[in-house]
Amino acid sequence: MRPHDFAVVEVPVMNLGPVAVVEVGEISGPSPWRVLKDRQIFVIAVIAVVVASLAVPQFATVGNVEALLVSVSLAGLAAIGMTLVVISGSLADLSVPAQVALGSIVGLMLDERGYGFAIALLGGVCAAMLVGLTNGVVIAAGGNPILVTLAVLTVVKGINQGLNDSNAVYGYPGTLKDFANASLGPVPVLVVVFFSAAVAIQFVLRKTRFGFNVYAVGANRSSARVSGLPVRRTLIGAFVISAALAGLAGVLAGAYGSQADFNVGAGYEIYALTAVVIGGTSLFGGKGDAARTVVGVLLLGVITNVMILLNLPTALQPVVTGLLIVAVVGGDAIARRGRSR
Amino acid sequence: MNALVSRVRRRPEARILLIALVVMVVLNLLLPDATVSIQQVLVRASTAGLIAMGLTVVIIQGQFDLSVGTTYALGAIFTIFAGTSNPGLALLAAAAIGLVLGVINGFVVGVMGINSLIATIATGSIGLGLAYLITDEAPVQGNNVAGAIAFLKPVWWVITPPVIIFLIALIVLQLFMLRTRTGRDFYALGGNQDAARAAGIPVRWRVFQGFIISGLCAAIGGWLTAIKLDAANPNQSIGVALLAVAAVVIGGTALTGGTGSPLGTAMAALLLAWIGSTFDAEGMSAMVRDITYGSILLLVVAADQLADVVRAIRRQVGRRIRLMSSRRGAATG
Repeated sequence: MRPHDFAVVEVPVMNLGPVAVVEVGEISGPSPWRVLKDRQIFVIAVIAVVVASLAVPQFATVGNVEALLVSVSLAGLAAIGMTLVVISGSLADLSVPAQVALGSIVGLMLDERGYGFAIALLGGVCAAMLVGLTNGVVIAAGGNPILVTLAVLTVVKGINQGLNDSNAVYGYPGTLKDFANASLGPVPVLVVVFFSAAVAIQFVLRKTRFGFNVYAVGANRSSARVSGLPVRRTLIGAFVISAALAGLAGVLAGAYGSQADFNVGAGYEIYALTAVVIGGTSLFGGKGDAARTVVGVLLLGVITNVMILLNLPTALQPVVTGLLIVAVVGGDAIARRGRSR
Repeated sequence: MNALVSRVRRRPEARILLIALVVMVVLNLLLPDATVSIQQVLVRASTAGLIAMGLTVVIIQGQFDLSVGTTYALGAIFTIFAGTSNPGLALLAAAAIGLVLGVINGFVVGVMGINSLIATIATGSIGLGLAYLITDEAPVQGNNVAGAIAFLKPVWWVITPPVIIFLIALIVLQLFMLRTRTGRDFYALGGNQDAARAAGIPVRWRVFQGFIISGLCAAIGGWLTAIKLDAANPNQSIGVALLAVAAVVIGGTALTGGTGSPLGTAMAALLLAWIGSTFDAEGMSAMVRDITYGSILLLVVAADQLADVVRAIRRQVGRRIRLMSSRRGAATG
């Protein structure tokens, strides 16, 4: 009696991956139009890049693209982690900013005290993972995710303010900072880390038993439980992995900016959730993947970047982001309602 | 006596009453010398309480409003723009922007059908951008410092004008939620939206009303702050929404909707303000306050889990006993 025999959650169709959910009347496979609609965000992103390169001459230069990618990679890491949480049907992890700040403070404190690159990096990540473990355990026991992560956010933010005698940490000029500021050939390390994390999470989601469970739990928690899937372990895993990526973003942010305090990572939760949702991962759980989040992150980055290049007031950025959410998610919601009628 | 106890226990405010008692006792034991000005606690609670009570209405409907922080900031900014020398006119301006934001939220959630969590993140983001644009990302000053000082003078005993506004809002909202048909519809919506629709409740219109109430409350909260400080700052929106959610939940309203009351939220806001004022009076840092707030919230969540477990055990034990007695009955009979 293996779990796979009973949990039929999403059926791969025509080898397109589980994104295409079979609906009644579509057993023969989705129409090309539906396939395209499911991937509309990829089309939007490509159009955005093409328009930006044609309209803004400075956009398609190596230096600018590099700057763009670096600017999104840290918050992007948190967004990749948030993807897992959202797919598992847990709505959001509001404690991400506290995890990022904790990672940065612990990482730089260890670095400052001369523990070396590996310990500093691991220490920051593990500290954040403990926060994720707390989230996961309480939520797996049935706590409301919004509520639990809000409570944990408040507590950990308080702890962050008290760490290092309430002083900012500046780290030690050494391997950690060199690593965060280094480049692999033409590609900055931050960007490499971001894309590697995305590939890793994409692999975990699509190719492993754990990833399958994340989709199953997110699509319908009670049927996943009835089917014998380890629901609790899956939820805890999703929150711990998400926290690990947030902690990694924190250590790197601290090392890159040479400063760590409780304000590092402020606003990451909203940014991450925005990127996840714009990418087309459903807030109801069970759908989406890391690739979509990467596209969401890049789209947000392109918009911000173009606005800076065009010298538009920075205050317009949240306005455009908000309108983009309404357009993408609202379009989906209206289409869904039209279909159900 | 027993009847009275069980009646109190059934009220949604019972839990916050218990929490408040425990916190008061613990605070008194830990900080026996702390002196707190009740007048200050009330003022402190009035803004946060106003915002949280508006949010309560939306959460009872089973929706979420993360844009209250932005609405609060925009209410304050519009108050300053209308001129603090005429608080009445400024109140109208703040209420107008609150109404507009409420209608937009209602449209995006009720008509377009976007999940309210992400929808209000979007509208909050748009509103914040507009707030930055119209203020050039800098604090704005009012023109009535004397009014700001007078605003915090007690009218009677410890009751200052902001507290009067807070109390009026509390009474109106509590009566609205419990005594009017529309208010009860809100509970029905939060309990089961499909059933509410089937029962003929105009769901979309109710969602509109909920977000309008929440927008108005948050904007009037902004008006209070702006009159009090004779200044407004677009950055004041940060963290407000999450603190308001905390107050709502500690006050006994479930995030799943259908239960709770504005009164419970008001009590929670008072409790949090009491704790904050005590810690401030003792010169303790924001760290202690944050950890305390978060721990109370965690305890509330944990208590809910525990209540579920206890209920499950009771059910199990009850079933065993029934099973055993029926077997005994079969053996003797």
